[in-house]
Amino acid sequence: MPTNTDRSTATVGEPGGGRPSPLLEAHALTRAFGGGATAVQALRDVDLTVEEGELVAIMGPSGSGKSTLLHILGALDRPDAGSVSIDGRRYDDLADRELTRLRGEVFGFVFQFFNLLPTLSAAENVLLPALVNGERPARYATRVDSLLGRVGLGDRAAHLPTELSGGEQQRVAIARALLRRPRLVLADEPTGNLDSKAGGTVMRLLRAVVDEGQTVVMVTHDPGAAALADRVVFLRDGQIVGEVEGGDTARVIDAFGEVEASAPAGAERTST
Amino acid sequence: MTAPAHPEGVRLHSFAGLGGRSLRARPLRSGLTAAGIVLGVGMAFGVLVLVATIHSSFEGLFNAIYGNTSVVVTGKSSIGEVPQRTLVQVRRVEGVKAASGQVMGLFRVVGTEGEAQTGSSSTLFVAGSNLRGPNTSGATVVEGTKPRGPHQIELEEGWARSHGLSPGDTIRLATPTGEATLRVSGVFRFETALDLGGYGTAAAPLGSVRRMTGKATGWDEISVIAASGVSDQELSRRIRAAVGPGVEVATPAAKGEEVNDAMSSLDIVLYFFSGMAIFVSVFLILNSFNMTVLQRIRELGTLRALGASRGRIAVSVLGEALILAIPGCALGLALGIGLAELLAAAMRSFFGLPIASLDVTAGAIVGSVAIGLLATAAGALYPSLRAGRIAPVRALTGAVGNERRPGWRRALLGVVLFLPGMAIGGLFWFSNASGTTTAAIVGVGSTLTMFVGMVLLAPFLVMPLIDLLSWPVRTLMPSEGRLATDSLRMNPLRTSATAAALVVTLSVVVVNATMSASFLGSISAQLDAHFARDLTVQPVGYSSYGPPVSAIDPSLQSQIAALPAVGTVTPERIVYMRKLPGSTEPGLLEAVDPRRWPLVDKTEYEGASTARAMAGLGGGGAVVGKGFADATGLAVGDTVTLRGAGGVVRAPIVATTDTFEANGNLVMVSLATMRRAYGIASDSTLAITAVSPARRVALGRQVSALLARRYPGFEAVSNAEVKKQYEDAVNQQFSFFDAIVGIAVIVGLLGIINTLSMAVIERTREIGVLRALGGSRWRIRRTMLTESLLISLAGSLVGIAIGLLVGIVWIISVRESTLVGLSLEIPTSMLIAIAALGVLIGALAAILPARRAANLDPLKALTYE
Repeated sequence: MPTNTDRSTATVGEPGGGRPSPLLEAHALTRAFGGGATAVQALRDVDLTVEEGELVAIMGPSGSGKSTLLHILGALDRPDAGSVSIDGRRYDDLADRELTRLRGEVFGFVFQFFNLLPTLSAAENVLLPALVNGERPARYATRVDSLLGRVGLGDRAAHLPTELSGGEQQRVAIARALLRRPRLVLADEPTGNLDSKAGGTVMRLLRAVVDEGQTVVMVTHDPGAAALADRVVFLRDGQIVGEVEGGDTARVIDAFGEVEASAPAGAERTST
Repeated sequence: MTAPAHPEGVRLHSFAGLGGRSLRARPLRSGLTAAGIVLGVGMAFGVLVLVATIHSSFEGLFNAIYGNTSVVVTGKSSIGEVPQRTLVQVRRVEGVKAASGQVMGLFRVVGTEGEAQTGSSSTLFVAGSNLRGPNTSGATVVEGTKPRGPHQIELEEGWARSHGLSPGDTIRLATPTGEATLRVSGVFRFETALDLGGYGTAAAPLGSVRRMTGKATGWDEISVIAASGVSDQELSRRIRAAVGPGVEVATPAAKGEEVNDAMSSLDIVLYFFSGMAIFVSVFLILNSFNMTVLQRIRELGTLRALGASRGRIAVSVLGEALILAIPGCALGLALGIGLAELLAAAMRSFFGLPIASLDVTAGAIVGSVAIGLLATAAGALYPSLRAGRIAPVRALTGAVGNERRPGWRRALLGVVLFLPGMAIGGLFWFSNASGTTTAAIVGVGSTLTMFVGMVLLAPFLVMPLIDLLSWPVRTLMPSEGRLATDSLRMNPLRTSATAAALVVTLSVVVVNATMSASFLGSISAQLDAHFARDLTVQPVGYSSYGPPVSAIDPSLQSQIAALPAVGTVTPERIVYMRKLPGSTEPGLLEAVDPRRWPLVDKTEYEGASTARAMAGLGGGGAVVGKGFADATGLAVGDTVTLRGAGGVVRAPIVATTDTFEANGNLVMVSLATMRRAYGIASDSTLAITAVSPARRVALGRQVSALLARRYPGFEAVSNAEVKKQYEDAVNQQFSFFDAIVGIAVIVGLLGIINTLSMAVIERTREIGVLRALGGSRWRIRRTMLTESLLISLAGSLVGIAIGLLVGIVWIISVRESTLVGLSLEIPTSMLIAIAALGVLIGALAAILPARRAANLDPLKALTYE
């Protein structure tokens, strides 16, 4: 049964090493697009907390606002109202310069379409976050090798993305997201563009990474993928409407079905 | 591996290396962009080298022929002759070590068939002086001896060698007094190397040159050598005080400076055309990088999401452009040398300038590379900033929506920038205002701003035209028609930017064509209206405007007068002056015999009847052109003061005339007045009528026979041939500039290829669908060709329309200001040719993109993301 978010019962897996406060805290997030009569309310008063070492999945029908939420959590977008903080520091009101620094140092991203640079080899793509932040490749010599090994692509370092399968590309992208040891990895439909076998491999990899201590928040459509999360948060019409523990695909499917079924007739069309 | 600890599979050393990868990933676009830079830099470098060469040619000339000379004494503005007595006066000045009087002649070499040869390499500049006098040039004999007798000549080494002449050989020259055969006594060499682009120099005894030129007394030039301890400037001052007004006293350096100044308006024109090529390349770079940025929105958004700052993204895109600029500049320099070589050759043959071999200076190289880098940076700046502004969220969402539509602010700014150039540009290019540097800056500046205005206005003109042209295409072939027109119409800014390069360049060609057609038509009409002569005798290759050509000895006039078919023969003496009396403008001083002139010329004068105007000339008055009157503010009743070496003559203006000669910068006096002021007594041309219209054919035969027998340096031309020569001269000048514009047209062509290949990439999936549904490769090709033709045709038509508008307004403004008789002629056939050129450009531009589209693998195209 989906229940309303309850911070005290939400944490599964390793707690944040005795930290007094959660890793990520979003409070009363509101975001609208457009203006006047055509304004679309993507998020209304959303609260979310993520503890260190957690894998949180956000699910919801199309247009539920889940992508907008991910953008704001990842410092890719700013809320109209509300606050969001990581390690107790707010970043919803920062200037572009600080947001840029945050993206490079605090967050890692995994995209639905992988977003590897087609002209760079797998190893170079993994190295990219260091390069865009002006670091020298030599510092990451062993890190790149070990990350590629970690995602099972140790022998494909010099391959271009076009020479890799979709699943392999997404594994390169995960290695890339982990390069600079981000506090939080955000994944946008990481299995959305993969067949079920490759999707499964990618999800097991993400799960393993979380088990090693990494915190991940992902948006997904796929109940199978969501089931590997510690926690699944449901979003509809820009509001959090429920949450279940992960671990059981059937439970997630049931919960998701209930969320979709309870959509009011002629629900306001929302869009992200 | 340069860095030892690089991770495996990593060859990038820094973020900057991404730029190179990205360029290599789009070879066609990178190549086209670099080609734009190559052409821009090539044009800039070519023109800089050419200008430097023109100036150093004259410097070299002055250094060589005045090697030992401290001061040069000539008639005012180097016109006319200095009286015999001036040499005596100069020699008496304290501080003069020696002075040598010289008489010059410019003769053509006579070939084995007895005909005068044309072309600069057959032109020999002969200085006559007392060869036992002081050596003012500093030349030394390297083979043979100095001329010892009246029929001997000494040739400059380089020219002699290139003509295969050595001491003992003979050379035949066409001179004003008839053909002369001379023996080469020796070969000399100047102290500094002399390269006149083919023109030759020679020395001969004074008496010999006097006989050949028919100049019995006076000096063309007196070269003075200073005594030691006297500075050139001081000596100039003393001589000036001794010889009085009307005589020009200058150091060789000052003379060189003066010639350089006279060339500066040509420099400005050349700079303008290279500026235009650079302008168009900036445009190509801008467009090309804009497309690259649009195409890479997701990629750039990803980099932003990974923590790249705005600045880093902007710098990396700018860096990509500059990487291209490096090979672009290098190849541009090579192209520039080739262009300069071609332009120099064209200037030798079109304008008869003595241009040496190319003078490539470090300054020109550095300047052109700097221009190339700046142009690249200027073109890539906006796309770079735009790339930096891409939101990181684009990593997930990709590009959204269409580009924005051009707004009214753009239209307004376009009109504001366009109008001044349209209103006043013509006055600079085709009227009197070209003289001063300020006028040149205003003229060139307003013309260039006018181009910017055209670019801003382009979307408002090109897009409706494309909509209009699309309609039949879509009706005739619904599926490909839509495919062909959609991307053009969805991206109005890109489409119109692509077409704008053609609009700008073709409008220049149209303005050129309209102006030249109108000038030619008007000149031709004026010649018809004024010429009452049947025949003109003139030196071979004669042009009233430009460097002096050998004049006609008066004895020829009397010989022609004695021919049975001749009714009247009367001379016209024309001197080109770098500054007309009382004016700052260059122009022509013309002298005629007032009693006979109306018999060969039926010009109607303003302010007086022909009879009264001629009586006025006979009484020492002057008739002036409208251009001159406008420039100086002088009118009938005012006085023109002619200051020559012979004396000062105050000539009251008795009438004005509306003429195209020298844009109306004309002062006309009697033969006697000209002789009194400037000492000129030889004729430029002879105007001849037959005793009766029935004897015209006989007249031509008799005169030609006389010339062929004794005067190979002259030719008899009919009125139709005179017109033809004017036409050729005008056409040559305009086609010279059209050729330069051609470079910019090529840049425009590259721009279309660029846009089309972008359109192919954008519609890869759509093309895949078409192919999967059974569309043939030919069908795909036709789609691309249609798109290309639409864009080039729209660009050409708008270019033609704007060109015509500007041409017409310029003609009206020039007519209002100076050339009242200028009538508008629309060069219809030329316009059709330009439209055809536009279609050709469209077809050429489609080749590569069409092949690329047709060769797409349908399967891959369908899954393309």
